[in-house]
Amino acid sequence: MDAQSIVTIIQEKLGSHLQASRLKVKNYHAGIIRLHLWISIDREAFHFTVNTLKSLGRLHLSTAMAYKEYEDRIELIYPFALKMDDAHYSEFMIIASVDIPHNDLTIRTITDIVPGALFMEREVMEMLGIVIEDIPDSRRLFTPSSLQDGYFPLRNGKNKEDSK
Amino acid sequence: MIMILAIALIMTIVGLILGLLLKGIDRKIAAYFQSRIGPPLLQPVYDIIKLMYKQTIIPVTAVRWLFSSAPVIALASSALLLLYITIPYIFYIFEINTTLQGDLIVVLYCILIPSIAMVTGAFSSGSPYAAIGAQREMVILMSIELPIAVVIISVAWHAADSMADPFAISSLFEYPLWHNAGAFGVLGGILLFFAMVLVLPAEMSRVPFDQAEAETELAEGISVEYSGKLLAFILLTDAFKALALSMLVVILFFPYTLSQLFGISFQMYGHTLTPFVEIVFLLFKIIVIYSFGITFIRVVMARLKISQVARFFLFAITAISIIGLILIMLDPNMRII
Amino acid sequence: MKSDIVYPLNIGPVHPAFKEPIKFTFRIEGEQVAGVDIDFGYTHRGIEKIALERNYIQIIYLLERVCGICSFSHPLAYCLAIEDVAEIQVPDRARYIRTIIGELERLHSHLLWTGIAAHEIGFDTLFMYTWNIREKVLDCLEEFTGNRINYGMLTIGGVRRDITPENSETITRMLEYYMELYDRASEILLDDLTLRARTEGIGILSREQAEMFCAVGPTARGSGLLKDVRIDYPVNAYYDIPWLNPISPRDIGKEPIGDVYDRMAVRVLEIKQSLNVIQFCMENLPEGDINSGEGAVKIINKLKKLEGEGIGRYEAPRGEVCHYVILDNQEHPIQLKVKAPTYSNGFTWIPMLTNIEIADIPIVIASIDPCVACADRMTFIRKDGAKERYSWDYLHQKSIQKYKRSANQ
Repeated sequence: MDAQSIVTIIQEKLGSHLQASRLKVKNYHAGIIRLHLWISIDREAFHFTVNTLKSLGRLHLSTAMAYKEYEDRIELIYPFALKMDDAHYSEFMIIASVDIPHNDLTIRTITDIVPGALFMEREVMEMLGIVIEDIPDSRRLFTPSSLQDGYFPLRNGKNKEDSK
Repeated sequence: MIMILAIALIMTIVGLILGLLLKGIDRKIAAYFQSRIGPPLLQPVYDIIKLMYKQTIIPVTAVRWLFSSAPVIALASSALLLLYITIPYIFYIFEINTTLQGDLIVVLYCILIPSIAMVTGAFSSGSPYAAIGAQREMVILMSIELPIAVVIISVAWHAADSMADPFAISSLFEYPLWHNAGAFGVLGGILLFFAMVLVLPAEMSRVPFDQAEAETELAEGISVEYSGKLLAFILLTDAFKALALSMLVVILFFPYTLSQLFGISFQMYGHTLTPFVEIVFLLFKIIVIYSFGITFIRVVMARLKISQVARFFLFAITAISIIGLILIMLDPNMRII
Repeated sequence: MKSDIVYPLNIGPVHPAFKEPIKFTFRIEGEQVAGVDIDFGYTHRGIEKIALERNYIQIIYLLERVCGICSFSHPLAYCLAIEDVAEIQVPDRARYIRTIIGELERLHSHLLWTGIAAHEIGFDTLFMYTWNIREKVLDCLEEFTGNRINYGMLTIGGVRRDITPENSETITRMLEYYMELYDRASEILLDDLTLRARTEGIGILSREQAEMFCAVGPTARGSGLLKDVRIDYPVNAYYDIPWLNPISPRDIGKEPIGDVYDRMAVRVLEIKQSLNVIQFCMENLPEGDINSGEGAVKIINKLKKLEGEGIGRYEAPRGEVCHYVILDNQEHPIQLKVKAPTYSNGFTWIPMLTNIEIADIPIVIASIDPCVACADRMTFIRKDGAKERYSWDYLHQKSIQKYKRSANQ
């Protein structure tokens, strides 16, 4: 499957929920390609997006909790590895990012679709203070229980000063 | 009386050192098999000396008197076991006439006491690891009890026609198991020996039957809360048991002395040295039994699960020992009641 | 041996079964495990946070310290991520050298795991044997890179040292040594009766569960899920090797059920696979440069003017390593995310550890080859550092309070 047809499939499936996408393809010899696809998703449609991606093939959540913090929002990045057929070297990365505004730091859990995302979501909750709705296990993962509530170690700037 | 006491005291000290040395030899041999250099031969002795200097900590959750008395009881009873088995044999070697005969049934009980004391101490420590270890130790004890009893009874059985008391230890030397055994008797004896050798590591808590201590599962299990002198007592108990149990196998199955086997005696400057040479021969037999029963088995096997152990002893080993007993009963050369 | 009494059993954070601190709380019924809870976070070192204050070259050496065993995989994933952002071409010879070191690392990691697994089930002789033969590959790595671990071989855009003729001779000799040993060793590992009795049918992770929980590496492959970054996704020189296939227990004619034995079989077969890959790479090693020839300063200057996001994936011995970097015209990345294999595999412990015996706990936990330090690499910034620093005397006092001294002291 070539790069363009993959992108077309994903664009068709996601339709208007896809806010922006960026494709990066690296060609190796013998038709082997490395494909990285960045997509930005509306927060409301994120759950639907993950569901759609899962229906396309073997979906694997690859990285833990990458994020970018801006003045007014946190951009949460979910890198997925998707494999749509059994051929070798056919897995590609879909890096989905979701904007979450500071005044409403919530997002719906994806553990009902990808149960392996639980550790990541627990980490997001304790480190960034983003509330994951309907998460099956909301305890802390890495930080000790003695850490005061409302202090999120990986928040930058303003929020950190607030909590001091 | 005083002589007996003096002998007992000397033998306790000698037995202690020999027991520790036996453990040292075991570790050296195991190291050789694992292509290591291994600790010095006297490492168990150094361990004891070091532990004697160490602080003894008793956890707050423990039942204090029970926790601290259990290793002492274990040590005393294992020393008793050693003396009880060894003294008749020593008298026999030195050809001293005595009324001390020893009793196999008492030996059967004495084997149990150190383990039960350890289990009690472990339960009283309040540690969940020790509790699980103690439960496992109880399971092992219950499953090896029957094979040991069957072995001892069958060995006593064949001596029943003699003038001597069949359950006396001293009659074992005069009428060894292979004494006038036919084909059935020899076969039965081999099965019994096999069962007894496999019981040895279970009784000593060694791989593959070290579930009660299982370092990687229970962090030393029953002895996890012990430290300092109390731990030293446990190690000493282990040394006594090592010596006593190998000694038991020797007198049950190979009580022959050099003079019996080859009719030789040793003289020097008009004094007879035979008894001392016999003691060296005895030690040699003990080391061989211990290496085969414990060292070789523990280097080639992995630790089994407690359910596997229980099945193994309750069915396989019990069956083997009972077949051994039946074969000995069937042997026409041995006495049939 | 089931009883009605359910009691909790803590294993860890410090326990002889683990080489690193992690805490498991089991609910035990008799000898059976009824439930399990896992507590991470005892080896936080804040490596990701430290990385944000280092320049691009320094980070490579920092990331070697994420994990003692995967000390090549982590910096490699980072280099791949940076090369992805900056679109740097890696010379062919460097790709092959990276593959060789990666496979040498896999070789020693799997041998190490075999030893640990043997130790967990009380088979110390096998433990000594495997660690003894592991010395050979460590010697080889030492001669080649200068270190037994933390090789310092990588740089952005290539590798730092070339394979000299003497090195290739050592590697050839090492390959011969292992090829000769492999048949006997695999026979012991796969056919030994007590090993089989302790590993078969326990710690089962079904294929569906493995896929659901995003399991990676030998853990996933042991369950029959053919997931291998080397083969799913083009990295290093792997896509040049025509015969490379993901290992599964089917290769020894066994239908995978995902028990400990299957995971062990996968690792044993991967030892052979690694040997073959190394041999292939040594035979087909292309001539040419081993890096771009640019010095560290030049690389940093180039990366300083870049903006973008990159992702690097690599199959470490334990499974997928994935690094995500974000560059923003600065001398250091503004975000570096490290995902270690245990972070993905940690979740699979829960189905594996339910309904087993206590005796199986250590080997089941060890069966995913956990690397707690990797999973725990996350940041935690202590708020009042000075206040929470305890003196030795204070700790000693605390411990005395907790345990009464015995009467004779």
